[in-house]
Amino acid sequence: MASEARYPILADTSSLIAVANTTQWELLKDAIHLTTTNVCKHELQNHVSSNKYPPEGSREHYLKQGSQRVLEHLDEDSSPWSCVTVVPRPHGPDAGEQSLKQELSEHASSYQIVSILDSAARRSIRRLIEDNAYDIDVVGPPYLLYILLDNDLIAKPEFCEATVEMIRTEGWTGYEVVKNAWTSIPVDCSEILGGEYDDALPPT
Amino acid sequence: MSGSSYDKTIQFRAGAEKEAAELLDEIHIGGINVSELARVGLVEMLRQSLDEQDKIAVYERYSRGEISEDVARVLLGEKLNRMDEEKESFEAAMERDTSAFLTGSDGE
Repeated sequence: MASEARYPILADTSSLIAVANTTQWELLKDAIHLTTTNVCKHELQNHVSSNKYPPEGSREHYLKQGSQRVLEHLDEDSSPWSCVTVVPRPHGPDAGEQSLKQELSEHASSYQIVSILDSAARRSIRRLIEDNAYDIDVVGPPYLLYILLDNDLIAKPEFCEATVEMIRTEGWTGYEVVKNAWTSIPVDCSEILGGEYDDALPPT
Repeated sequence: MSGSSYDKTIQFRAGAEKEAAELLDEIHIGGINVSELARVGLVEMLRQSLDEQDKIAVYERYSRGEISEDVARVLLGEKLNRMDEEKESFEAAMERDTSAFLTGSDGE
């Protein structure tokens, strides 16, 4: 079982699923410490139980597979990931995001990074952080891969490929999101990615 | 590229449109600010006229410093803020000592 320790990175449900579905998952899960909430864990459990046999390649399959991987990891005795309990427990479709806000309101000094997948949720959490003058950066899940790159645990091609995987599986296809994904990742992947990766390259 | 061209008066032949504006100014309590209406309307129409390819072209030119932020903002609006915000946030996060996030960093 994951501990209730607080590590400097706080991540939401979708952010965890996104990294769990990349080729760097096996490395990432043991290389970094991170924290999530009991509410996010519950959302992961819902993804696993609500879809018994989702067809291969479907969105449901992707959510279930990623959630399963994250849950298994959280349930390991020596897991470097932790799960903190948030009370009162928020409900509804944005419960995970709300739980992060609640956790930050009470334990902001424990965190340096919040990783959250949804860009509207990122903006909302940034406002909370600005209003309270917390020293926390709010970023998308590619940052978790960036930590591996920055510490030479993976090389640039691996970082770029895993980021492309994430852009594809998350269905980030519109101009704004693809451009956002790349402008917010100041690593030049253009020399590595070409041809087969065209659809996930920054629009030019 | 010119930073001041948008200060120039934009002229067009207004027939029925001008009459409609004058009529509204006459019947609306407190009148209406025709210049303000025209400016807001123009921005709205410019944004509506942009397709995805145009947006890409505008953003690319802005990224290369070929057009001013004011112009890019007229055409892209809030999108520009959002993209800048994401970039700044990620860059600030890159400044942190990421080795502190590793499991090996605390002697495990």
